[in-house]
Amino acid sequence: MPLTHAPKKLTAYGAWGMGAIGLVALFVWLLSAYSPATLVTQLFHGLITSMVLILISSGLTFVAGILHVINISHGVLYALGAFLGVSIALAASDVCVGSVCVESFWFALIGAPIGVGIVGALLERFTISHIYSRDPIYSLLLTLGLTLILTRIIELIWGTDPLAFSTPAFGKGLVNLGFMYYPTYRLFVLLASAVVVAVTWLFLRMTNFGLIMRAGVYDPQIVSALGINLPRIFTKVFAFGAMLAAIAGVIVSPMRSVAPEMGNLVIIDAFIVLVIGGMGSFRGAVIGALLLGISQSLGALIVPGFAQIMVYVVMVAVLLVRPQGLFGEAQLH
Amino acid sequence: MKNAVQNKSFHWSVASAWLLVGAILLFVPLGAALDWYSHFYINLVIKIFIFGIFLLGFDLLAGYTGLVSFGHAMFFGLGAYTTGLLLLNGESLLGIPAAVSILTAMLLSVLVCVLVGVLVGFLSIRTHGVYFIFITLAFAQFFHLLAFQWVDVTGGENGLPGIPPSTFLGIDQYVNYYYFVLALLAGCYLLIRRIVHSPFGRTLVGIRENEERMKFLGYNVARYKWAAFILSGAFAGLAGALLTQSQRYVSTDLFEWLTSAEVIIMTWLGGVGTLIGPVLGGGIVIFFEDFFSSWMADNWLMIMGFVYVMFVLFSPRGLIGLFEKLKTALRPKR
Repeated sequence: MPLTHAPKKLTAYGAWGMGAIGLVALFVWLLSAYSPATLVTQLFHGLITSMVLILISSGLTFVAGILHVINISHGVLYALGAFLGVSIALAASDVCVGSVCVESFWFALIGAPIGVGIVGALLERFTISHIYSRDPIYSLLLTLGLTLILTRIIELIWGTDPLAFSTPAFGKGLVNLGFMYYPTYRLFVLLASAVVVAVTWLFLRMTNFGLIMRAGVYDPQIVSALGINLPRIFTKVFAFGAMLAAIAGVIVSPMRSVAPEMGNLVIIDAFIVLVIGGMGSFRGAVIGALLLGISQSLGALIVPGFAQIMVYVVMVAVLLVRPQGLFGEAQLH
Repeated sequence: MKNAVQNKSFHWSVASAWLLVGAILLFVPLGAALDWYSHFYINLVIKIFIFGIFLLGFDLLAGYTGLVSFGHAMFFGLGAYTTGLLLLNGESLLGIPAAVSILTAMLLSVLVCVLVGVLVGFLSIRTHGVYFIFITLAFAQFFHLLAFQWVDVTGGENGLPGIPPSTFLGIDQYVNYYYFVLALLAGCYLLIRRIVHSPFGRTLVGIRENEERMKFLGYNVARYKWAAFILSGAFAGLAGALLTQSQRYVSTDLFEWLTSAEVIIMTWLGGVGTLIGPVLGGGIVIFFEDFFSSWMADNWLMIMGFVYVMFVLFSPRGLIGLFEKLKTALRPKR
């Protein structure tokens, strides 16, 4: 559909461009009102929030776009990743070869996503795959129930009190950025999540699997008619999303406390990202998360205490102009 | 002719069932007076009635119009806070006598919810399906945040403790309040049933079934959806007002998204779009919440979640759907 595609793209870029211009204007105004160091620190905080949100919401957006499933339990999978990470980091010891040591943190970063990916695949296989033919509302209802169950299982295994995840040795201390100091671990989170996001993007662009996934958002029926085993792809997509959430869970835990309800808090933000960016669009998730994270952190500077309100203002503004989100497909109900 | 006779006898069985339920509900406080069970259970049943009113309004929107709101807690919370503030300050600031303050509070709560419903509804009904779910969720979160941050008015994290109950018709006594809320629930049920069977209600069902077709038939679909949203919010506001009178405190928990989620669970557990189903579902969830949480702490949530998942997977129309399946299975084959 080349004819309908072109103007749609234009509007999307128009919205993007207007957003960018608005942000730049805001930033110029902020520069006149606050010191550069405060601003950049705040911006970095916002970027970190955004990067972590991208990891969480990209899993959600694949599942929403391809499987038409609204996965409320995604937040619990994120929490599960953090808890598994804590356990693995505590159980494993640092492995040293000569003078080069690999910290247990890295085992957690690899092990937890694999574990959560398996849990995700099982959830998809045994419950969610049974309701694909129904209205998407039912997936919301089902995953709501799964959330209750999984949260309680986490509480039974790890207890209800928040756990502390100690910062790995390489992330301790501050880095001198020339004009200010910034915690090393936060910088690591920024870089690591940027790498994961870039790899995910390359994965979607360069591999056959990514091609099938992207095609699945547009027309699952044709994809299946081309001889692709969709049920198996669906399981993989779900597990892949769960793994991204678990990576986010592990890398944020040294910065924030690990608590069973951490998923409940983040899932709302992730859904707002989806609503802003549009369901099924990876680019939408990236732009949405950046908008949300940065408006939140700059909002904290301008109206302390009401920063979150900025997020809703942005969301309502986007929905009024484009009810299907910035990059969303209008046909998804 | 044979059909007509069958229909008539069917109505008789329904009428007698209603009479039985009505009689049992009328005599619930008597059991407490005779010390068969503690007064605590009267309060529990009052809570079930209050959620019943909330769920009736929610079913009008989710079940009959097909708009699943994930933010109905906002109306519940708004009603509760409005009533809380009025019962706390009504006499001193506005000179409203305590005897009728609950009536003023109920009226004002409904009014506030209608106003918010007009605004939020106007913005929300522009979206469809899943986007509608999230925009309503976001609006509810907005009010949650407001309740948290606007400390001067809402008390922030502490909520509004120590609200003096209204003394209208002696409803500060739980037995009188029981009958007061029961009467309101019955009234709301009859009202919503009337709405559902009216041309307006049939139009809502038409929108649920096929919005495009209703548009082609010349209906102003957006306006109908808007009206349903506002009406549904008004009932939730009334329920919130009633909850404040019996609980005597208001907290930000009311605005939490888990409250909205709970209402959805109750509705689908009972049977969406059946009016009586959601009320039944609410009763069951609230009763078991109390029953299980006393001897297995929070584990009841897991059991509840499991039962609920089973219902979503195997009986999408909830308890009412299960009951209907059972009835067809037991009916002698011709």
